[in-house]
Amino acid sequence: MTKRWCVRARHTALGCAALLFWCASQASRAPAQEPASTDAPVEWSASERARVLTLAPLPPVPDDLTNPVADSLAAARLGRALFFDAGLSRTGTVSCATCHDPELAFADGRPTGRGLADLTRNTPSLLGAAWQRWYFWDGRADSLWSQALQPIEHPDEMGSTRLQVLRHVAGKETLRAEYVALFGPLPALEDQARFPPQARAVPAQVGDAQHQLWRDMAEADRLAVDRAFSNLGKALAAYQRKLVGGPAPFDQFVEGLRQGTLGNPAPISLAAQRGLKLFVGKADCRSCHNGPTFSDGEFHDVGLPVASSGARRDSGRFEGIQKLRADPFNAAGIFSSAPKGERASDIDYLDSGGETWGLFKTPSLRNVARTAPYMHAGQFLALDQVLHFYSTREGARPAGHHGETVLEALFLTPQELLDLRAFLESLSQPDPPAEWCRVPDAAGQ
Amino acid sequence: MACQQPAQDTRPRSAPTASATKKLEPGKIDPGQVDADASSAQAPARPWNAAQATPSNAGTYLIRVTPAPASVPQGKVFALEVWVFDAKNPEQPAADVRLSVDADMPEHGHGLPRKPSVEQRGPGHFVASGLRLHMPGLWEIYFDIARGALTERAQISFKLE
Ligand code: HEC
Ligand code: HEC
Repeated sequence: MTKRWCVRARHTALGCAALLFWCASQASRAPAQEPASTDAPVEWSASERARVLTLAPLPPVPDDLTNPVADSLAAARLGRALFFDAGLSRTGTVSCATCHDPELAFADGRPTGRGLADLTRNTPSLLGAAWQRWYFWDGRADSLWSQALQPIEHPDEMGSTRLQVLRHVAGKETLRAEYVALFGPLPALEDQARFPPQARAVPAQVGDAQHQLWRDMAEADRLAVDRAFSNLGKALAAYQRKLVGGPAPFDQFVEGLRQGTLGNPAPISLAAQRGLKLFVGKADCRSCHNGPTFSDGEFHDVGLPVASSGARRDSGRFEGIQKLRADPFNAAGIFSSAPKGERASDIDYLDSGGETWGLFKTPSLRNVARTAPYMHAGQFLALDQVLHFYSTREGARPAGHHGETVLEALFLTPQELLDLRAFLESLSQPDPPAEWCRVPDAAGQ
Repeated sequence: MACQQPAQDTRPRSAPTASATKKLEPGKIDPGQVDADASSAQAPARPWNAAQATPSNAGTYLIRVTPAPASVPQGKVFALEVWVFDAKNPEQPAADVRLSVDADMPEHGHGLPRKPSVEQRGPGHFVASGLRLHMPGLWEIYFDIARGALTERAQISFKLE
């Protein structure tokens, strides 16, 4: 441990010498402390306090300028109806809620998702999805609405096609009425010569005959279908922006720390407070899990052990950026209402070189205690295993390739591991309002 | 240096980007205030911040860098206004130079996920925008100054809390 601190101290000196004004605020890091007895109150240094205050409260849901109905209540209601509707899948058996189950913090409790077939990645919780900068573990979508379009057509998830889904909406009176009120008329889907029901925009295999049907459609008709499909995504996004839980015990604790009124007992246990101290201090988790979402919104390789099965390695962000750039529904595309906005301009400037290979998005840690298993492929079944990994780095691939060289074994004591877990548990928020957790019945309740 | 005769550069100080109006983070210091002894009260206004200068690694150039907002935020987009001078002529922005900007976290073995874009505003005058330092820790910002076929680097390192 001592060595770690010394390394940092030397860099601080260097940095300050090089450029004074940027260092004015660099409070020097507190030295490692003697382990406290388990019932001693936790003291907060000025710099620890400053770091903790950056982690809460969660600001209001950020704007999404690419989606004109992002904050429309009518769109959120339509999105809710779509979210719970298995009719969006090819077989009529899989809805978004199949994998994003409101009872399981909008995840599925499985190591990797399962729809029409088994998936290779873990299903993230949707609580707080609106704060994310990138969607999917590889960030291949740059808005909540463009994200929502992909599972519908993914053969292993819902396996449908945009034409089928629009026909479903057109054929269900409530959906149709809500859609038309928001977005205007649907394409003339009843004209099956112009809009062949079997046409598939995303080829399922090479030489796909259904894809040829799509290619043969008039360009204006394809555009009308794509626009209507993107509208469904925008309604689904408006709905997911409502999936915001109440303040976690941790949020109440930070508020108390800010006001100087911690209360007795404090909103989180002493163990959780010690865990927090580790999190912002010697365990240095906040390097990546920072800000009120507990994520830097970026991509890293934490060196997870490689599966012994010899399965193809997941390239993560590397392919994610290529897919993002190729996606007609990205923030710079014609279906975005801010094609010149900040999100759109990022697409061109992303570093897409080989060093992005095998990086995955830093997940939010809010509600993490409710969303086991963990990591992009569900590599760990329980929080204790995650913490054991960070502490010992047992089985970790050596850093140096694309890995984070900052991650070193922490050698946490059993008590410290318990403290960190208690802290992570204090990030669980009460569920969003019940009306957003299920489809209302016929009476609208 | 701050007391030498300034070049007759009377262009108004340009605000690098709209983000210049962003609120400063509490507890951070505006670089303009750091220079206690520069008798800047009498010094005629220049478009750059004369109170600081960083030499390039082989000493050919000096750069003067002003962040906008004035204290570099963690996790938010910011811009850098950069003036490049020949070290021999620190009051006259260098003509014929090009600039590219990048950043790196030497302790982590990686840099910026999104490359900044650099726009030239005049001789020796550049604005690098779209920078976002996503993690706290030690950062190095690289300024590669090119003239003809030769490139020389100046760098600034600092620790982001
Ligand atoms: C078969 C299971 C399954 C279905 C059905 C499904 N998802 Fe997902 N969802 C996943 C998995 C697995 C991922 C992560 C995939 C990846 O990263 O490549 C994911 C990722 C997401 C994300 C990104 C979250 C983040 O933090 O990056 C959002 C948002 C989302 N799904 C919403 C939806 C919506 C809306 C629907 C319905 C249109 C839906 N999902 C249908 C399994 C599913
Ligand atoms: C270098 C950046 C970095 C640091 C430092 C870091 N993490 Fe992570 N964390 C990540 C990334 C990236 C993932 C996802 C990795 C993957 O799936 O490939 C992750 C995943 C997790 C998960 C799983 C969450 C989920 O929903 O699957 C937990 C829990 C977690 N980290 C806790 C911590 C703790 C506790 C620390 C400090 C001991 C820490 N992290 C330090 C980047 C980091």
